[in-house]
Amino acid sequence: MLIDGDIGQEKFCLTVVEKTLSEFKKIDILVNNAAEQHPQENIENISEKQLEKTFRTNIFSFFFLTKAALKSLEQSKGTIINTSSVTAYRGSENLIDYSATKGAIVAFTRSLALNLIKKGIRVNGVAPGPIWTPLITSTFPKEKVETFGSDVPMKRAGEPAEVAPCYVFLASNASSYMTGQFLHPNGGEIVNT
Amino acid sequence: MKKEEPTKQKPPQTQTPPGKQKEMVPEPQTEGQEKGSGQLEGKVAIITGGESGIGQAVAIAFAKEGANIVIVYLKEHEDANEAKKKDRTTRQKMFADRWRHRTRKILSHSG
Repeated sequence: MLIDGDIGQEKFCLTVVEKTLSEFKKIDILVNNAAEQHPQENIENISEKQLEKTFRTNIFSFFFLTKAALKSLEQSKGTIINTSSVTAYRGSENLIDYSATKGAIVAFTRSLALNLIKKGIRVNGVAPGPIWTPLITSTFPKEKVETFGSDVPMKRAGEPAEVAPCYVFLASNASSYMTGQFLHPNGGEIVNT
Repeated sequence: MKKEEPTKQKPPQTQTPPGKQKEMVPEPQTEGQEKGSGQLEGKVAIITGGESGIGQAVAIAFAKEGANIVIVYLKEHEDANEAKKKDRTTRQKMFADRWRHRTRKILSHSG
């Protein structure tokens, strides 16, 4: 099923859950993954509008959707998987606001994991490195796109398909003893936890 | 980490946000070699940003493992909405139970 709308608005997130339940009657897995980024050379260039929009999409939506889906996830003893980024761990010169949301996602994941253990819901995350996606070609200048990913130990960008197995693992029962943790498909950059 | 000179990896290219996956050179690989072994059989998964990139790869991988997928995405361009509306309705009707069909549908929606 496809649902289009702005997850930065809480009302829409309620609709997503309603539509899902009317079609499938339950929710087992919530993957908070959508994000936007707007590279800026200086912090002065980050407008209030950009700041709010980035935070709404990248982290407010995680709160909205989690709240909306909580009852269903409790019933199914479900799992939540949040997409962070290597930029949360090592910073990113031109993505100050974006990396701040990604750091927030790490703390959010850890706190929520502790909070939801009593409900039987596991919460984990994935912190990808440079991955070849439309987010890259649509926000970075040509020169950066050209060399994208060359600065990690494996000296190449990763493919989305190389990241997805982390989510399968965290969504499945194979990770039943894990909560509040992050996996790091990032081409070998050691960032720890 | 020691810094090295960046090397050229991909053809230089730019797109307007949020970008179109099908127009990227090379097109991102969102489907892996994994066959799927029913690890998520019958599960229902909501995936935000599941129309492209990592989200799309997750949607395909979950579908291969037997999950039902709900993709939440942001409309790309206001002027493209009308055209997409019809397309989307058709695709929703086509929603099939077998993972192959689901995968194809998700792929066909990329970017």
